[in-house]
Parts: sequence; C-alpha cells; structure tokens
Amino acid sequence: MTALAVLLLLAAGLAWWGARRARDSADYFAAGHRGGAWLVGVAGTAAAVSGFTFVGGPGLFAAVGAGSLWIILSAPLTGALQCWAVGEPVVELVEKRRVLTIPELLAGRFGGPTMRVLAAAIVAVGCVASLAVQARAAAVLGEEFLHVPGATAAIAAMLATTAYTALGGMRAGLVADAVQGVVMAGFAVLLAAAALAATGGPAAAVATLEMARPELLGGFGTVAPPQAWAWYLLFCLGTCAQPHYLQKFLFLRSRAQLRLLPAVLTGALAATLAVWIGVGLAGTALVARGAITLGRPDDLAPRTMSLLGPWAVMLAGVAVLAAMMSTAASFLNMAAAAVTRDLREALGKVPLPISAARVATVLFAVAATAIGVTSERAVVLLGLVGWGFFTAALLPVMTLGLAWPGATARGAVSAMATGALVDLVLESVRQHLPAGLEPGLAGAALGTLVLVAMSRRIR
Amino acid sequence: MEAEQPTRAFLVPAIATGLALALLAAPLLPALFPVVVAAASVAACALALARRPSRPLLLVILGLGLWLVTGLAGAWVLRGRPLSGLAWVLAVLYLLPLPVIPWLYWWTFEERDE
Repeated sequence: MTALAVLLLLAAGLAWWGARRARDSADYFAAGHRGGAWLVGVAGTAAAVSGFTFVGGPGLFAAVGAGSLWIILSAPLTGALQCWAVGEPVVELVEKRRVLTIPELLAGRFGGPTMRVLAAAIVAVGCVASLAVQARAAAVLGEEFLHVPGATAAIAAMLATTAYTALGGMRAGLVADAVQGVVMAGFAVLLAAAALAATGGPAAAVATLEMARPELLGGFGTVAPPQAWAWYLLFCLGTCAQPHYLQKFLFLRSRAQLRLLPAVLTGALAATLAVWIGVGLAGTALVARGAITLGRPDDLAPRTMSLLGPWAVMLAGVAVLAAMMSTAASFLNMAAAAVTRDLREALGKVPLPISAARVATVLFAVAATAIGVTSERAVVLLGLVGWGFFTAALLPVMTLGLAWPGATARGAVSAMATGALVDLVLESVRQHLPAGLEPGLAGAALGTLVLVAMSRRIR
Repeated sequence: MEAEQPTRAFLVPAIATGLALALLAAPLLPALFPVVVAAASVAACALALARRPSRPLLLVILGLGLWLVTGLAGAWVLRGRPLSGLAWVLAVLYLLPLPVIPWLYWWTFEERDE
C-alpha cells in the first residue's frame, strides 16, 4: 500500500510539472521533438517492455526451457534493425513535415484520408486492447507481488499513469518512461543476480537442470524448432510495426540522434531481459531442487522472489508496475491522438485542442481499466489484438511502404486491412495451426503481397 | 518521402514478394525456416541500403547474414545436446552480438548534408 501511495504522489508531481510544459500539440503528442538518444532510448525501452518480461518470461522458461529465449534472442539486432528499416525514414519525414503521430506520418507518405482513418482506427483499437490487458495484468501482479487487492493495484497504476499522461502528454510521459526504464533495468539486473546467487551461481543452476531437466537446456528446449524460429522473426521484425516503438522516433530532436540510439536501446533492453534469463534459469533450478513449487508456470517469478525475501518481492512489484505504466502511457497518448487529431483531420475537420485530448486520455483509461478489471473473457478476446495484430497490419507499410516509392495509397490501405483481418482470423483458430505459422507473420506476409500487387496494378 | 534510385528501387518489392511467399511456405517446409528467418531479418536491415548505399553498410549487412545463418544452423545442430545447445544460443546469438551490432550501426551511420 505504501508503494502505491508513493507512486501516486510521484505521478501527481510529474503531472504538475508536465502540465506547465505541454503548451501545444507537438509538446503533448511528440514531446516537442526535443528528445536526445539517451532519454528516448531508455524511455522507448521502458514503453516497449511490459510486465510479461518480469513474470511471463521466467515462467515460460520454466515451461519450455531455452525455447523461451527465442522470443528475446533478437534483442541484439532489433535496436539497429529498427533504425535501419524504419527509424531513418520516419525521422526524415518528421523533420520535413513535423508530423506528430504514426497515422499522420503514413498519411504524409501515401496521401488520402482513408489511409489516416484506417491507421488511426488500428492504433486506437490496438491501444485500447493493450491497455485493458495491462490493467488486467496490474490487477493479477498487484495481488502476487504487492499483496493488495487486484482492483486496487490496477486502479492505482492506471490512475497514476493517467494523471501525468493526461496533463503533461508525452512531455511528462517521456521523462516518466525514462525514470521507469532506469528503475526496471536496475532492478532486473539486481533480481537476476540475486536469484542466480541463491542457486549457487549460473553454473550450479545449469548443473542442476542438466541432471533433473536436461531437455530444457537444448538449443530449443521443448519448443518445436519452427515455432522457435517463428518467434524469433515475429519479435525481430515486429519491432518495426509496434506503434509504441515507432512513437519514440517522433520524439527525437534530430536525425543525428539516431547514431547512438541502437546502443542505448540495446543496452537498456539487455539489462531488463536479464530478469527473463536469470530468474528463469535460477527459478527453474530451484523448482528442480524442490526449494519452490509451482501451481502454474507464471508462479515462478513470484515464488522465486518470495524465497529471496520481502525486499525482492517489493523490488519486483515496483519493476512490474513501472513496466506496465510506461507501456500504458504510450498507448493512452496514442489512442487520444487517434481520436482527437487523426480521425478529425482525416475527415477534413480541425483537430481538437489539448484539453479534449486530456479528456480522451481519461476516458480511454477508465474504459480499459473497467474492461481489464471486470471481464476476464473480454481481456482474453482483446489479448488477440496485440503484438501480432500490429505486426500484421503495419509491418508491410512501415518497411516496404516507406522504402519503395512505387507503393500506392490504395495498396497500403489494402495491405493494412488484409494484414489485420488475416491476423484476427488466424488468432481465432490458433490451436489448429501448424508449428511455426504465426498469425502476425502470416498477416504481414499476405499484406506485403497485397501491397505489391495492388500498387503494381494501379500503376 | 525521398525516392531512392530507380535502379535499386525495383529490387525492394521483388525481394519483399519472394520473402513473403517463402514465409508463408516455411511452416510447411521447416527446412526453409532458418533461411527465411535470416533472409527476412537481414533484408529488413538492408532497406537502409536502398536509401544510402555504401560499401561499409553492404559489408555489415552481409556480415549480419553470415552471423545469423551460422547462429541458426548451430542451434539446429546442437538441438539435442543439453548445455552446449543453451551455451551456443546464449553466446553466439545473444551475448556476442550485443555490443557489436549497435557499434556497427554507429560506424555505418552517415550524417546527412542539410
């Protein structure tokens, strides 16, 4: 409870600071285009990493061993990949047109209101879905780590995030995300080291698993290799299509800042992912020794932290809340921009003022929290609209679309609609799909074919 | 958006189409998967070549392709060997490139003339 109270106080202070500085739309939606590589890199990583890294990742290691690592193995590459594939053209377009949102950027590249309406709709729907999932996760993890009622944890986390995001926009959000990113990275390294130390070190943890669960230590663990490769590709290329990843490029003050950005992104991400590898390996070894027992794989991180002591439970709880809040702040801001700016401009109307964006931010937060806390079924359904959905809908237009001058507006719109639809259909029958057929990748592949075919046909 | 040189531009949709088809076929032909993973990852990085071609960047992209193919092939070869499989994946695909790839980006980055 004390942690939640401190959290709300800090958020109130940041909201007051941000409200005085967010003077116009550029400040509110794009942090005034004033960010440097360090600030944007750390904040971007914080926005990118959700609570799954701290809980779901170690739990997945317990379930499938080294196979889980294929989700994060692309981490050394993704910082540079994002800058090469999308960062450079996005920043150049921002410098030329001072765009504030991803739908605005796509409309600037392809032209036409349909592109902006569809992109805004995809962003808004995806953001609300992701926010609801974050709220649900805050409720579950608040109970696990902070030992407070789930609804209290979810409401407190969302209230704190909404306070500074609504009042200060991304001027406040960028600073908050950066602080949260430092907290997450530091705590992740500390918790991973403590967990490994509790097993006698990495070598001892590996030796335990080699004796008790050797199947977890092969190159793919117990995961079918095609599935592992599909995860690698989905979480590698998918970084070029996540709106909250792309948003950070809008914050940079100049193209020159890109030079250092991959180093900051990669360093911050690698530090945070230490918890996945360290707690996953150590916790699974502790399970093999009988030191802890699991009801389900996601119990691994909470039980390991409990074994380490109350200090570890507290640090993990704060880190998980920081991960969720930084991700939620970006989604709230992008959803508000989609309805108060992108949709209105696409329909030929004047964008609504910042005050309306503040109201929209609050409404989105209330709706997402209500869904996340009250309806588990709705959260399961909304969970389908996540990483894969954005990858399927936006990857073709953000990569091929920005690099190929022959890509047309009609081709891009068709590609986005096709990718999103294919992903949703395949996600609904996921259990019947062969290993390696990831809905997000299949949607992106079909979207790419549609983009090329439609663009060539029109020309 | 700046249009890149037409001589290179035609390659972009052709390569993207080939990769998209290969990606759809890969779940049915698992042997194709590591090649598709390496090719698609490197092709995405190589989009920068279409905008600002340079010999250092080309060498870096080729090097990344070689590293990925080696890393994925090694993981496949060691898939049944506990310990060496995990060690290979962590060392070759994760820890080794962590400091190298960001530095390669820094090295090949070109300041643009205003």
